[in-house]
Amino acid sequence: MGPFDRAPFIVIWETTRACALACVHCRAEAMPQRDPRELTTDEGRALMDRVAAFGDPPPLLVLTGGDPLRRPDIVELVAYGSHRGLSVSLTPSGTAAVTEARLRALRDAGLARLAVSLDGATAEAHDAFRGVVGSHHHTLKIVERTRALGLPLQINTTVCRRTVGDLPALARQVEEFGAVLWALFFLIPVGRADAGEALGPNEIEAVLEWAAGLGGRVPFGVKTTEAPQFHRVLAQRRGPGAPASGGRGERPAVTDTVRRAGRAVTDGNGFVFVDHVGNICPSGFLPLAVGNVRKHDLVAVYRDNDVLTALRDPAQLGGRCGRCEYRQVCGGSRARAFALAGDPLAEDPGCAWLPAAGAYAVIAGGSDAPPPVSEAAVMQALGTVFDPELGMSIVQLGLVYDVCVQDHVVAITMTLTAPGCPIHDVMPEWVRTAVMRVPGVERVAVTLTFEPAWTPERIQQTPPASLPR
Amino acid sequence: MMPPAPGRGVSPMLPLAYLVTATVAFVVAALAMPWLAPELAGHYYQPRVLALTHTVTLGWITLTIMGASYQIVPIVLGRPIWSERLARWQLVVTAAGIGGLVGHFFIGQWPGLLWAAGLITLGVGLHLVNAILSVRGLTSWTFTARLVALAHVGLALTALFGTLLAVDKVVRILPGSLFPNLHAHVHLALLGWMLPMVIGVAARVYPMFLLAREPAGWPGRVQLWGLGLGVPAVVVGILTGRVLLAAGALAVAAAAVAHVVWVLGMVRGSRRPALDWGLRFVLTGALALVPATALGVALALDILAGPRVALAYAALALGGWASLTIAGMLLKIVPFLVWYRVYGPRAGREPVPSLPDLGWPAAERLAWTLLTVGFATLAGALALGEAAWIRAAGLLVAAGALVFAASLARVVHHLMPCAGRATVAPVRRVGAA
Repeated sequence: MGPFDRAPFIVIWETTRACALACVHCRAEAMPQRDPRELTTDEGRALMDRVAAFGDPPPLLVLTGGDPLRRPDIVELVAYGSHRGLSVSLTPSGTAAVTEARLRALRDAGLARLAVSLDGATAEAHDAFRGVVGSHHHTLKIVERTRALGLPLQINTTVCRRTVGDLPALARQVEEFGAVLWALFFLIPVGRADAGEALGPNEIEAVLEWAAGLGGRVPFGVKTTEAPQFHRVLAQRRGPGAPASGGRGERPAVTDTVRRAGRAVTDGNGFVFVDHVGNICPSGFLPLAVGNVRKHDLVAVYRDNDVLTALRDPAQLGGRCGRCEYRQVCGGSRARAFALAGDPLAEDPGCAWLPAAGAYAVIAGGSDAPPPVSEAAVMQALGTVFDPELGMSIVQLGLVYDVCVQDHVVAITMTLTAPGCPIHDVMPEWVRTAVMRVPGVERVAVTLTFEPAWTPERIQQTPPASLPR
Repeated sequence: MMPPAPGRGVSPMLPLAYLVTATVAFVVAALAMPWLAPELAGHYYQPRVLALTHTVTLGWITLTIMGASYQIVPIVLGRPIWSERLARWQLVVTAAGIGGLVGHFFIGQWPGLLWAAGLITLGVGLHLVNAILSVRGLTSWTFTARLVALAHVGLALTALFGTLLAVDKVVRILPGSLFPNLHAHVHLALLGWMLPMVIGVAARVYPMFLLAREPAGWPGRVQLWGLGLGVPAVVVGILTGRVLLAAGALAVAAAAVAHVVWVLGMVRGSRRPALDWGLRFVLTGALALVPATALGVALALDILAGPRVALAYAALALGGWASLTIAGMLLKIVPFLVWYRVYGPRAGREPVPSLPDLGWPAAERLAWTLLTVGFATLAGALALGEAAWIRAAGLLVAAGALVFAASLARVVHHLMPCAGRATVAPVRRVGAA
């Protein structure tokens, strides 16, 4: 029985998708306005009741977004969660909406920690990444106010090609800010994130080695998201027989009340995500809906759903992850496996460790060499091509008739809603651009056909909820 | 001139130029309404009322249909526009003619109408040449193709009749009395040009917007036969006798009702998650066709009579049906044209706004409310002949037109080179995310 079979270590609730920023990597594809289907205040309270029902101690609860401060009831929700005995953290966007008054209200409501994103060591780099000029300025204001109010601060940084060069400088800033934790989010190509921005396995390994080397030298902890092999790296640095630790540069801040996991927390294994309309997913980076809190009990879904139990069972892992001696503390990024191979139980293509050889090797995957291309990965890429007027993907609209993958060449046969559709001239290029981002794809051929003609019955009303195998 | 290569899209700037000009005409006409309330409270045959009417029918409705047809006809008929250059010249010539016609109506100088009407006829001629050469070789004469062809016949006859009326103002050449000739001209425009064009294009475009199946069945036959036989009967009946007019009016009414039946069927079968304000405008316009048709039939059957009812009928037809429908279509077409020009080439390579991001839903909702209430009130006020009520209704319409124009201006603003930088956020990735 795994340590997270009965309860997750952390529950993330995407309270809204509304956000004023336009981050180039946004997992949630955040939008300017709030979705009217968002969970209501009462539904949010009910969700927190179920989080508390996991047992004692209850999972950590992170209210994320979008920008959670776009919800007018956010203070009320934090207060309710705290009252229920939950450790509630918040991840607001770096905007002017995070005023001192709101921060004070959040602190008084019992907020345990505030996390803010910093993705560049300079204003220019951060603002370019976040898509809005001035975001860096607002972020630093939030940092200043959070510290002034005595709230524990966490800094989140997306690790990708654009940001990797800034990591040493960012580490110094995290220290200067007095943050208790630096969370490194390794980019997964979902939402708006570009697969070309993701680091390859050897690059990820280098970053993890560097981050592990921070331990003991910096006054803040370091944790990784979607790079659970950090625990393998830490274990290897400690040597054989050493106990597993939380995987941090251990120097807990006195004011920080948020506990830490003793092993990697991965998608569906210690981690569960509830999106803005209540869908329960293994994580925000692994958007496989396995239930909905409006209809299903979060506790029951987490404990019993086939997808989630499979994700928690190391015996079901494929490839190198299935053979790895560190699979109990790591388990690999299931989101990356799904994003790049189309199978959440496949080996993590972002890991450089070869278990059989017991040594590092140059792994085919990520950006280092062309990996095999799966039809599922192509379909996922096609799911990111949207009709600009309808706001629905070409997959959801049923415009894709056939996908044929042969070696590294992808042939796509598709249609449009009408023969004279004005995007006739540009759609093939959009499709080509999206599919070329799938690692391993070298050539894409797009054929438009109107036989058979498209009909509205081809529209998929709901996303697939089952685990693709 | 060489025709453009098949499949080549029209430059978005061509239809945009027409649509922006037409929107300016709409705003001018709407602003004039409260001011012309005393004239509108009287008989419709007054120079300034004629100037207002032509600003609406030619400046707003005809220019929109012409411009939109350069965007939509290649889609619905699958044929490229024969010459974009000719279409650009056509806009210049037609707009100059409309300006001249409206201006001379306004100041009551009849001889000046001649050159203005001549320019409009030339513009219409250029449009017809472009349309005919564009559909040359068309093999599949669908419902839409037939009604578009019928509409262009109606346009040609309307322009010809209008030119003859202008000449008749200076040199008496037309037989018969003034009012039947005038009514025949009006109904050629309304039923022979606008109605078949709108319902023909609607049969292909509404399903695309609503994500519904293309309509089929008996309502299509009723529309084709109703307009094909009814419009000539109405026009000839106005000029010659009541029996033909009544039969024609009933046939056209059947076509209008069949169109509404189709629209309601498409709405019922829609797979679109939500109706945007453009579609709400369009659907409200379709519903306004019902009272407009009822009033038209009542006038044709002599159940109702007089200039007051005729003006109310015009307000329902040109305002309630045509203007709301056209406003809705513009809210669909203009954002697409702007998006296609500004963001289409960048889609998939960088984050770009989606089409709905370009719009201004709050303004669109306000415009819908003001224009819907305004046109309904205007029809009632015109029927009563109360200048104060007409002015109040005119103010509502004017406010609605201004808000509508502002919402379109916000979209068109994206064409400005600085707009992309000014609106860094919010953006989302469209095309390829």
